[in-house]
Amino acid sequence: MNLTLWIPAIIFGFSISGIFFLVSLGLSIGFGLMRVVNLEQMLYYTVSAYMTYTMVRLTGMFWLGLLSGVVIAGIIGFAVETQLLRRVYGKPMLFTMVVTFSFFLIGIGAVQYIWGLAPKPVSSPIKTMIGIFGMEIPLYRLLIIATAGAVYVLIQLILQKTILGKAIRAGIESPENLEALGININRIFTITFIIASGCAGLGGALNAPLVMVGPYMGFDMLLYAFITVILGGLGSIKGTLISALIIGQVISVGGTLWSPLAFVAPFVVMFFVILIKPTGLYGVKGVV
Amino acid sequence: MWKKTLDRLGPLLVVLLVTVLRYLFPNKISFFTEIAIYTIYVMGNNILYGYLGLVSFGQPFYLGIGGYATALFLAYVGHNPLVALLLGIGSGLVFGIVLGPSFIRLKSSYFALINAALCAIGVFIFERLLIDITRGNDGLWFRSNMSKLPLLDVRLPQSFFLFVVIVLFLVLMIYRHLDRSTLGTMFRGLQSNEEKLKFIGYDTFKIKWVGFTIASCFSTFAGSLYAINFGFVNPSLGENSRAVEVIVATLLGGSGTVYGPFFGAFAFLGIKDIVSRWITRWELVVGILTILVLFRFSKGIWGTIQQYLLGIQKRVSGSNDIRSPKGSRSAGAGS
Amino acid sequence: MSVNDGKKLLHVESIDVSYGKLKVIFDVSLYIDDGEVVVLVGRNGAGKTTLFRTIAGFLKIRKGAIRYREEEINPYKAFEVAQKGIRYIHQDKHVFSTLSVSENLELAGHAIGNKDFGPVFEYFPKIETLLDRRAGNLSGGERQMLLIAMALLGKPDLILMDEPTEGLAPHIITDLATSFKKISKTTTLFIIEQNLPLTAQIADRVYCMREGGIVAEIESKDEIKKMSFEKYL
Repeated sequence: MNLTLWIPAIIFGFSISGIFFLVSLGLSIGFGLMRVVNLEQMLYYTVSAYMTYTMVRLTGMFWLGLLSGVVIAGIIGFAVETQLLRRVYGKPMLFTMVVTFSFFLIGIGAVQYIWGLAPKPVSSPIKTMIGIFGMEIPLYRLLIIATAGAVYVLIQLILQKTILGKAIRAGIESPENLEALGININRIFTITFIIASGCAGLGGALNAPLVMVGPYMGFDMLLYAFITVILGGLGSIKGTLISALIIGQVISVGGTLWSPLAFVAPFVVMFFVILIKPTGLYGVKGVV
Repeated sequence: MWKKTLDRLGPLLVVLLVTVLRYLFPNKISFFTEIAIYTIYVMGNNILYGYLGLVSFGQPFYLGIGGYATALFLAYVGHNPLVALLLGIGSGLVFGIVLGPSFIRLKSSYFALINAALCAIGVFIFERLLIDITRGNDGLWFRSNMSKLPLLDVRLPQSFFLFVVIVLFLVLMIYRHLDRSTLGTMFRGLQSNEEKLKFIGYDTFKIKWVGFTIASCFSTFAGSLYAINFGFVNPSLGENSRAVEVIVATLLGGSGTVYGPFFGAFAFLGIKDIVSRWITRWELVVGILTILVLFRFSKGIWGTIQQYLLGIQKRVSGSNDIRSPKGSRSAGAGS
Repeated sequence: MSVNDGKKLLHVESIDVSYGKLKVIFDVSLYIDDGEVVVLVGRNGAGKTTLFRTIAGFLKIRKGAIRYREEEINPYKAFEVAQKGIRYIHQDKHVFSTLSVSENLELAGHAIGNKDFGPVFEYFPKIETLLDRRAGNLSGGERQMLLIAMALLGKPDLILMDEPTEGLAPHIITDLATSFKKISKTTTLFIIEQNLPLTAQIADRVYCMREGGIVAEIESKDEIKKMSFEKYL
């Protein structure tokens, strides 16, 4: 077995998983808590990547760009939740999906107006290579993995230890029963949504140096986010993480074996899982 | 009484309208040809969205399948466009039957997402995996391989227009029949109360499977017609980013109705034709249009016309033996 | 319908409620006084749950008014109604099953900042022994106790209970009836109940509902004991 090939592949896989996990979170928890498939999540991903690009151009500081990307993603998320999504809660899934997808399209159009059609490059903030088992691995990839891991731990801490987290878990089970306890469910929705949008933004900023920042980057990512949440099961954060880990490895290791596998294998995995378990690995039961 | 007559003549009136317009605006022939084809495409989506209550973000996939089935046949195997079209329908039949059982078991949210994923695979297959036979993004050209049909030479735009219009008439007749049939009633029943339908003893799984397959056939057929119209196909026919266009056309016309798809296709392509002269950012327009229609115009064009006609008839006859309009079950109206 | 001009805790004044175009409650009026135990009886589909959901703020009225301590409350959102002191216990006995019992209690008291579980443990000592249990693993009777305990943590003046004894074993129902008596000393109870003997045992007053309207109000204790409301079902 050729370690020089496989170890970088596995680490690259984990970094892909990290990005997928961050961008899919909102799709999954939005479904679990608000019963909305909010396809416009990928807009936050896109806008954040562009913000990062702009800040790098203006100030040369990547981390400032990342921060502003996350903040702007959160702000747009806040606006969308309070102004748009609140009008579609409780409507048929069909309706909300078309609304959010249309909003995503509007967003893409707006991005094209602001930043133009041409893809923009963002250079990696950390060019250091680290030696692992004698292999040179970019530190930046490891940083993505660490960030995504930290986000997961943080979210679990919030869910298990804080009253907000308990309310979120309770709301996933039954929003109406939670409201009957005198808890402002709309506020819970808004806060959750801002956090999820921020995570999508974080994913976009972190991914900016790895891909070309373009108006359609959200479309490409939406596809992987779909696969991630379908495989993991809509509504489950743990499912999203595990599925992101699987998909990341399938892409990276599969692609190392035979390059077309990088694209096709995730779909194949998803199709098989869905065939056996129509709600994904950890899907929330009993909901559309 | 006159409403019944109007209903019977519906398909004919639609076809006449397109034909008259085509001769009134002779330099817009390709536009009217596209309307006829697009209507069939929207009809397919309408079965899913308007009748079965399923949204698919992957309809371009089926368009692409039909297009490539036709194109591959004409480029490599035979010369007869009719056979190529039948192959297009056949490809929809095969995909509907094969994919159906696993797809329709899914909840509506998963159904939408998995179709979108499928669409992306489709583009990948057309563009890269089968590049040796599809020629990837260069497109597959086959116009010169097509033979002349006994009466019509479909290679010429004028005669292809006539051909498409005749096809549209037949398809509309079938569609109208489907809507009035038991199957159509069952489709609607599925959307409003699946449990009850199960309770009465219907196999809802089979009904959905049939509906999914029919929808798939309509879409691939439209893809085939597109291919023959252009004389070539490329992967953009099946592109994911255009998935929402057919949904907005469905909504615009009035989902769950027989003639809604025609009005939807007409209005959508018309708007596209006008708007794209000034605005190149097409996504922006489609997005805004969809949201406006969903929130403010949920009955769609044909639904609104039907309501209007019903109002007139009520006033004229004063009787109460009127069937409820079919346009009232659009997505926005549900709760 | 008796007219009483004294200060009512809750006063429902000829309300209509619809689901979309379907009207389900027709011109319903009733009142609840402080400290009463009022039972609402009626067949399935009579509109009882709809009435409760409306009082709790989940549904909006088409006409009429719902006054709580003289204040019109229907325009408020459901969580605001709960904060004002009306707690509604759903029929489905839904406790947050993935949360522990103590987490359920914590959420219940959070809206008014009540972290003192002591008083509710006096009503239901058993809950105190179950604090670390996942609420999903509780028995039906334990769930109902937890739900009432959760309602009490909101320090409400009025608790709406939708069929609290449905599907519970007879000896648990007896225990609950005792608890209702104790709770009613401090909190007004408005209960939907299908169990007629239990109704006769606990009710101060009974309203009978049929096809979306109130068809009878029984105030006499003797009539209640004789279960004379049965004829209105």
